[in-house]
Amino acid sequence: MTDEQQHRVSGLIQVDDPLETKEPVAKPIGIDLGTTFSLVAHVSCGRPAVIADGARRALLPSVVHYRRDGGVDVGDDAVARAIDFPEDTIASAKRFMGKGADDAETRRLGSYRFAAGAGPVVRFAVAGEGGAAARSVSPVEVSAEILLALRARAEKAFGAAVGGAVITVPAYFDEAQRQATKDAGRLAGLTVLRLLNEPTAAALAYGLDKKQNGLFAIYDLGGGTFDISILKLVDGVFQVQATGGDTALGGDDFDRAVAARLLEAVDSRPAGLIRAALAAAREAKHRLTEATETVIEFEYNGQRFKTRLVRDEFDTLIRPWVERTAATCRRAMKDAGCAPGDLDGVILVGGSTRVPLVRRFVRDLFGKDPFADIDPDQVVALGAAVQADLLAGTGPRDEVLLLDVTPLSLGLEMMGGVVEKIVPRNSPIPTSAAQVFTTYADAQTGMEIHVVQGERDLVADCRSLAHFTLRGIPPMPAGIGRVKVTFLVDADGLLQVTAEEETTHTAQTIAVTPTYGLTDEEVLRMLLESYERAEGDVRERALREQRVEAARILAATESAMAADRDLVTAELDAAMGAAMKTLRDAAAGTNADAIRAAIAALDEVAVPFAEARMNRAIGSAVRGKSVDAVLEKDRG
Amino acid sequence: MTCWNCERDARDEAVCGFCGKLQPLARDADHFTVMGFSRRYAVLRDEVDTRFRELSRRFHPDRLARESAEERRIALQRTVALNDAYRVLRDDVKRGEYLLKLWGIDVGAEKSGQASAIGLGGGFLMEMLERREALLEARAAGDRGTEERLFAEAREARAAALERAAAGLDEEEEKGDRKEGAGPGAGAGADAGADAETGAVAVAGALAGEGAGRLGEVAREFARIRYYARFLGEAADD
Repeated sequence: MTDEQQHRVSGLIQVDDPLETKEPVAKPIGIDLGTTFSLVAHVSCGRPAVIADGARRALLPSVVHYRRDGGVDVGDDAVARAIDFPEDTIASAKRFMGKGADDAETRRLGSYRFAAGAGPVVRFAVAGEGGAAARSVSPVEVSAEILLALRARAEKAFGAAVGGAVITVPAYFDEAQRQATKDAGRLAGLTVLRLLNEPTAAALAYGLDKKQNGLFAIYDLGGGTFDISILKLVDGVFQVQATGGDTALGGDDFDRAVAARLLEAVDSRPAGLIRAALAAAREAKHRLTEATETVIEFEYNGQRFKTRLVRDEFDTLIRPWVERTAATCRRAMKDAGCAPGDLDGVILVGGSTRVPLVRRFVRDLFGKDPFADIDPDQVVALGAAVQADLLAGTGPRDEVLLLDVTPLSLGLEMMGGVVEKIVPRNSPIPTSAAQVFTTYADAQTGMEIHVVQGERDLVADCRSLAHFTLRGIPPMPAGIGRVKVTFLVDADGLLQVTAEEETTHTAQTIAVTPTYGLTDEEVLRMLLESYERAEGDVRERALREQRVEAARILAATESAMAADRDLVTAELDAAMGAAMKTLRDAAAGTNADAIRAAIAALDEVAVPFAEARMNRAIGSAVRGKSVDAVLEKDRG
Repeated sequence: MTCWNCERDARDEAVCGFCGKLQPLARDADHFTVMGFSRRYAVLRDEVDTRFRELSRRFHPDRLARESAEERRIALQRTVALNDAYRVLRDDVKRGEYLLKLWGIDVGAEKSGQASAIGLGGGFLMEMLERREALLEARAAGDRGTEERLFAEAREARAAALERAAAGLDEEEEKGDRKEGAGPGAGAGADAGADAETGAVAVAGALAGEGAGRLGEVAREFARIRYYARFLGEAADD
């Protein structure tokens, strides 16, 4: 590296936030933001543990339901509404993270309603105040709801605010998908300490558990993503040698394959039916882990569906998906310069590795029985909690260090649409690399920089990350102007690019905002919206409380009037009747203050009646208590 | 070097002997210096791996979570430099090309069309052309056997070229005081402090004066290795 380059590198780093926070962060958490389920964990008494909800459930279904009153349900509450409101209930949002509106994922079997013409990012049209499809949400916003729910769960368990979070991502997530995940974290009000690769997190949990040095393969097949990492563990240093994967391959695909078979003979497939078939397929998949055959039964709109499925047939349906992982595994081993025989162990991660065919396949591929002794659903979150503890400076584990790599090559577009790779895949991060280009025309004053990610040689086959132009190059003959382009990849795998004309030091730096990512302005707008919604939530809670109170008072007054009918004069009856009607009308409205006022008015006109009841009750115990308390006796 | 913290002489140590604070890397440190190796080709992959882990342990910013922002910034600078050095030195081809670059010969400056200028010889280019044609024919005929044989031959040829290059580098190192960076091409100004990226001159230029020097032959081997690598890139990435 050169002087000025190092200078620049250390200068650029200042932009990044975690370095600025020196104080140990209180209560760090690790979050596994999964396609199907999400979890939150923390380190307590030196051991990582998953935080469960009030009902002792550790797994939060990654499902978000948007209600017509503008409210949002997350997790099991959302799952319960999925069949009735299939399009307002978003599952597997992770598969759409960082994806464009025209991505292939949008054309696969599912019950989503996509918002048309909403810009380059995928957006779902969901219910809101104002009815069906009243609002559109991006996958980032959906993920933020899940993160918010996990954060709330942790804060309830701690009785204190969460300090910072490590959020896991598939190792093979590209720049746009990582950026989207970090945006979701910011949107949920979390300080993101690190984006940690899922297989690396799992290795951390396993490595600490087993205290065994060696070379390991981590085979991570989740609900929607597949990762393979080859990792060397030497005395607490976890060094990723190579990684590979497919961010659109997972257990969801098994469900789709089975659901497609269930719906083979059905011509009309409304969203609710698809959702019901997918749910039935998933349950059947779970049963086939133990059983060798099962009967799939489900109902939709009074129509019954019933099919028998034997495991062999299930295996045939999913085999193409499972086999797709083989080539990826072989390439990762080639990149790591190892053969199956060099491996000391294979670790299974992700719920989909419970499928017997997958286990058999992994055993045959690597030639050894895989480890699966830590719950494959929890292991990633546990590892994330350990890393959060380390990064927050609260942990004592000084012996542990994670060294990860870039999953995909980063490069620049050259003349003729060819890619020049600047940072090759599987480079250890953080890293920097520079390349010098000369001007190609006389008196050229600008240079177009196009940053791409991928392994292919042609720009058209790679993911476009960013375009920018370096301006202000002084006019010089062709070939004399020298532009140095420096890539800096931070520990989260996020990229920053600097272009500098060397003779004049004209420089331009951009934090790469992927074409499908969110700009800072968009994140800010969403944050503002979420604050507004939080305010809306407060209003709504007040309204609901007043409605409940109104219903309670109306019921109590009616029963008291019925019990002491003779004490109700005609005048009292008319006045109380009018006040009760006013209260009923107010309770039907949305103004909490109006309900409160109507309750007070009813209380006031009921005073003579309450006094009369009080006199009748005679008992000295009753005397001296407030009118309200006397009424209260009956309201109970 | 003066310690940024206590302002006493920290010498060239990574950690100040007086106050114990981590010091920034010297500005002119090359990849060999960064990893604490002397400047020579013969470094074992295991040594590189072990040194990489040792240094990561010492300097990785994640290990300094409780230290000051300044120290963690220095740690990051050292780690970025270490990762870059590791990427180059652990690879037999990249390490060799880098060494040549430090000595003023930039194999990478060779682009298509200039090959004859650095003296690869028409024979070599014809040979590569024939390989490519044979590959195309085999593919058109769906002849996997021939395809695999062509790749196997190219792999062998690449290995042989690398062996010759390595021998050449070892010989040059034995012959003289190249440790300090005074190679045949050093006239171009590629001493330890110069910009390895830009200070080196194209092979064509460097060899103009050196002609048939041993290092020139080494550079040609690396240029040939690039041709083989590109050819092997055609092999299905499995």
